[in-house]
Amino acid sequence: MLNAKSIALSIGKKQILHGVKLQAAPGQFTTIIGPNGCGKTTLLRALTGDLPYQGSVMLNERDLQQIPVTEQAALRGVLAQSTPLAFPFTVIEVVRMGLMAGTAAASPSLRKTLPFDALRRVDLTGYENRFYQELSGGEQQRVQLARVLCQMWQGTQDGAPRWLFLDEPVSSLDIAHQRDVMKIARDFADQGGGVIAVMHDLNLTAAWADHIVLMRAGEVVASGTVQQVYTSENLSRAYGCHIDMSRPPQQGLPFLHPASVGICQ
Amino acid sequence: MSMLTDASEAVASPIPPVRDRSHSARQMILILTGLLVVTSYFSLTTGAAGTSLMDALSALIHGEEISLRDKVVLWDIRLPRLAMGILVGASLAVCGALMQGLFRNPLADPGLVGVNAGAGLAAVSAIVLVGHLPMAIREATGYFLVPLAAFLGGWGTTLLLYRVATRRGQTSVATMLLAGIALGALSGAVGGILIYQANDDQLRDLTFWGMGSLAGATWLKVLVTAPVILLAISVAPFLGRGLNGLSLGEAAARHIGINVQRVKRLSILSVAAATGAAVAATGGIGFIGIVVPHLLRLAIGPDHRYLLPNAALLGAILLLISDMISRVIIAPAELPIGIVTAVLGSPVFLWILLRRRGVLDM
Repeated sequence: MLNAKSIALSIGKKQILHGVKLQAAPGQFTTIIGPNGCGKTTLLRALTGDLPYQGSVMLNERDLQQIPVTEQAALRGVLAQSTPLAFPFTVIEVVRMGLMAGTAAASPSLRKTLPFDALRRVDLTGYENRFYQELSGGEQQRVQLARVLCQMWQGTQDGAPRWLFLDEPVSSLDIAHQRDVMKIARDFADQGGGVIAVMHDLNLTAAWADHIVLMRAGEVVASGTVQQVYTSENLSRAYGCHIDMSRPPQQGLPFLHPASVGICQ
Repeated sequence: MSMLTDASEAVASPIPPVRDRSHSARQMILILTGLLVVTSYFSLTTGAAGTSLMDALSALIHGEEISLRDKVVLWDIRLPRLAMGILVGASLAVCGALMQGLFRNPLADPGLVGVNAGAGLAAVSAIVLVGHLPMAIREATGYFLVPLAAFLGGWGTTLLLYRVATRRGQTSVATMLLAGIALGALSGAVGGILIYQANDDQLRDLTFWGMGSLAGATWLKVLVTAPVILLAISVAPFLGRGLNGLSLGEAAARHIGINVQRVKRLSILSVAAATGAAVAATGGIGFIGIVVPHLLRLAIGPDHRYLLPNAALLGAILLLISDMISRVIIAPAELPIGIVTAVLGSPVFLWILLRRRGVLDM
């Protein structure tokens, strides 16, 4: 279980988060949505221990701040929005960095094959010897996801759930790879792991997520299932413009047609 | 079963052929070790004293008696000079690689960002102002005063630089380079004041600090310098993995289990100690720290686990070669070695800049 209570966080003099409460269960795909600058990424960075926060974050019933860095690495993987590299590493060298932690339980033969399995999973087989710095933004993002998958190669370890934190994992991907990445997150949750992703695409979120946290100006304004959160009222209030929900007959999911978005206030 | 393996792919797929640069990196260690031995031999037999030393050396190896003159030249001049060259060359190159890994930038170098200048200024201050120091300090430090001052100067400059360039855990490369220029200029200005204060003997020492030289290496200097440099360099192998992780950025390094703070502290401490000791022993010698790691990255890739030991070897080799050039090019006089490394290194540095033009505009 991930249990964050009264998370407050300031950057400089500006307070970004105002007492945020968030619960995420293993086995579930949780997404954080909201307008630009509402504090989604900041919240994620607090949950991964990157930014000092006030309040408490309990990860698997342990205080995050009390868990040593190496243990945290065995417990959760993090994918940032983008990861520029300083030196000319090849793709396979980057993916193997995921083996530094979290795979202590993996056998030597598994450690050998994991990077290749991870690359196949993100559809980058054949890219092993390419230089990371020469790839497109979307390809780099998938290489980093493969690195994270190397680290979090299974959803649980010794019965305890492991966690994936993804910051806008599909923002630079084409539609086919968006679907791949959502499926990876879904599979991880189905294996007993927990996924927390910051998302911008509301339709993708509706199609894949179990639990949705809607934020506005550093506060959570709604959370629950897609049916509970995706109301015209909730979304219009959070994004500051009129939003109409429609329901295409196929799956009965709420669907947001981009053309239906009104002029922002 | 791992989520990475689908049931449909139960039969393990063969691992595709992958260029393994770690293999050639390990071979490179052997090649460079061999090259260092060869270079050391030529370093011992090159110089104003003539080629008779080749015979002397072979006589020595065969256990025969050699003349007192040859003995003095070999044992008291060439050997300590060789030892100092290896120590300082290795130190400069490893410190360059450490600093580049730490700042995540292939252009970072203790010489470029003013650490050498800080260490040199402290050493120069110690030389010129020694008469003004309390007797107790002079007696307590003795011969170690200048190296100690250089060490503290290098350390202080590194810490100051890091503080100035780091904000909220993010180190700005542009700020670091500009702060380095500012610190270098400040060192130059203070150095100028000291030159006015200096007497003739001190002036000669000051020139030596400015351009660097392996001449004047004695066994005593080697014995004082070696422990500091060897200790600092011996930390490097433990930093390889951490610096690799750090090339993903500080947050991502932490996410994969790297104790970032520890890697940073150990790197800074090593760079400050080794640069301070090297500058104290031989003055400011530039460009080895940039050129060596860059050439090695082209040859064996950026993996710091192999880059650091190879840098130590190639740094030693390049400094010995530069030293030989400095000894023979205007023989029987000697050119300061810093001039040779600058002439050899600055074109390479420009070449790196040109290759990275797009990346630097950030």
